[in-house]
Amino acid sequence: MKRRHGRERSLAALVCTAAFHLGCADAQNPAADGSGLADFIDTRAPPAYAELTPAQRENVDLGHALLNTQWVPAGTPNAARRDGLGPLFNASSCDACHNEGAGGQGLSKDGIAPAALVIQLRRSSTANTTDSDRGDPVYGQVLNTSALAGFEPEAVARVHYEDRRGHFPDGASWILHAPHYELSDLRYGALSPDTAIKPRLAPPLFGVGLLQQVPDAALVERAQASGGRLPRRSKYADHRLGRFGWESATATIEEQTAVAMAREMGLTSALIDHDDCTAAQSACRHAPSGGSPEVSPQFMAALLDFQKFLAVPRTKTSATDASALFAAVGCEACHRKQLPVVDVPNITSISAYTDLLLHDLGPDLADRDASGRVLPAAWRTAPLWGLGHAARRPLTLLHDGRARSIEEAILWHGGEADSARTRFEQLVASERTRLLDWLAGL
Amino acid sequence: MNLLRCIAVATAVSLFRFAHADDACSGFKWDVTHEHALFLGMPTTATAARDDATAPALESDRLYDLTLSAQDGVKFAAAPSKKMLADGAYAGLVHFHVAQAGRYRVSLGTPFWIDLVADGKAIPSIDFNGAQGCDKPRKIVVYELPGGRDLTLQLSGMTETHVRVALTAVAAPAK
Repeated sequence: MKRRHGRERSLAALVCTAAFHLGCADAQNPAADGSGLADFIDTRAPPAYAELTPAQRENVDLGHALLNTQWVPAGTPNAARRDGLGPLFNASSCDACHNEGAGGQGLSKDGIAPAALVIQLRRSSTANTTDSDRGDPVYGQVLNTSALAGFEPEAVARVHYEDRRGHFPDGASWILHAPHYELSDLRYGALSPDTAIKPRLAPPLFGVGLLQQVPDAALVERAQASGGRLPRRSKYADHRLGRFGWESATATIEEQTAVAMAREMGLTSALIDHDDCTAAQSACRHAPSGGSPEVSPQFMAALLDFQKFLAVPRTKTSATDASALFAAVGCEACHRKQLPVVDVPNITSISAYTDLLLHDLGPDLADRDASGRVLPAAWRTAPLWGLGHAARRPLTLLHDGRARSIEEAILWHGGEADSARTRFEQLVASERTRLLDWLAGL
Repeated sequence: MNLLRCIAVATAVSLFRFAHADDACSGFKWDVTHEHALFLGMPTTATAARDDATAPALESDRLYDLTLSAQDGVKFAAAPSKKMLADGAYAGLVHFHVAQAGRYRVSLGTPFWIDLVADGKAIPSIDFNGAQGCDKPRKIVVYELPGGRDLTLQLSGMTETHVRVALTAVAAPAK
């Protein structure tokens, strides 16, 4: 539809040249030790888990630059390679929600939801059907809280927290931070009553290339052994089993990236050629385009390579090993230490602490629809690797960032994890601390 | 050409609209009352330089509205520490001098990428935060700065031609 330019190669060369002169290449610290982990010496130069060829390095560096790049409105002078943002969106760069590959930062107090905490919308009546990608009939898949000049954001999303207090059996107290979501200034009127309101914090990108290489057969085998639910199969990726996102809705990095770009940034790609504009949003549908697609195949390939090779931060810890306690409490039933991977040089298994299966964690974590009805929940077991890196900043864990510590995250577990949470509560204080310290070193 | 000029002017005014709310500026994780008060005032206008040698000296605790130049014509004191595409971007350099060593905030009305450079090297930031929907300010980066040194503030990466900026000292916590 619009012009696309042939300058990406020269840009890649420029970025790599700049990286060389900055010494960034030296800071990449390749860690081909077969673990998928690496030391993050400079967080602005997140390393790969493997030794890269010069061509791969060039593409990864370009992908890193693209991750950081602010996309701009279609027609911005001299910016044709990065235009096409919006018109409705949540963030103008990937980095706004995945800072140097890390997960998004949630709120620590009442306030407007940050860009990294997206309100996804799904028709709850379709949640258990193959048509579960249906968003709200008017607002679409994601509530876009920002817009280009001349357009109106769809709404304001605020979070209010309520303290929920309790005690461990040994008398120690805890306080959970229970969120309540308030959607106001809804530009097109009320949401459909059966639209599920699904707050989702941007997850970390670390290690996604390795999770992608876990074979479907391993998930099927584990589901048969444990009773965990298999994710649904992707309609974009040869019907592979889902594994990315809080509910494993997507199967490949490309699918996950393309979905996020389309719905949260208003950027089209070869995989998804439309923004999150519904039939009711005529101005959005007819907004100027930044090209067809707006993210060129070469740019998308570079973004995918950056993620594919991105290592998981290794944490230096002096905590004593509590893996046996982790298993005894029951956490390991779902947060499985080992998963096999295929077609990754020098790596045959990863220690991601997930089974990549779906589990009901009870009504306290479940989403609600616009009429307030609690909906059935099926959460992907969140990988725990890299927790130590996340703990460099104030923690905001779980799907909406409500948990301010690992302990709080455990205490929110219910449903299938109810018995494990109870066993954790029954530990003596020193054992709880030992387990939490060990988890903070993963 | 006129069309391009119109687009450029519109760009300078506002690229984005956020879901505005009265409390949008309350979204920072720290108390930013002082910075908010500065951004509600009238800024001093200045033109950011295209190289370090000609960068204007700005004062701390004052709001500035800086005019920027096309980034491809700007020579940075140190390469921007964040790799990103800069097509169509505007950039510039200014100087600050803080007498007292300590913790300082650089506040921006638009989320430009910034580096504070001393002796040709970028000083690592120690924290940052932003408030979507707020431009008074929009983004704050926190640094531990040396006293008595000339510092270069570099702005880059965004397509706006102006940016409001202020450098403020972080009050020591009450004992």
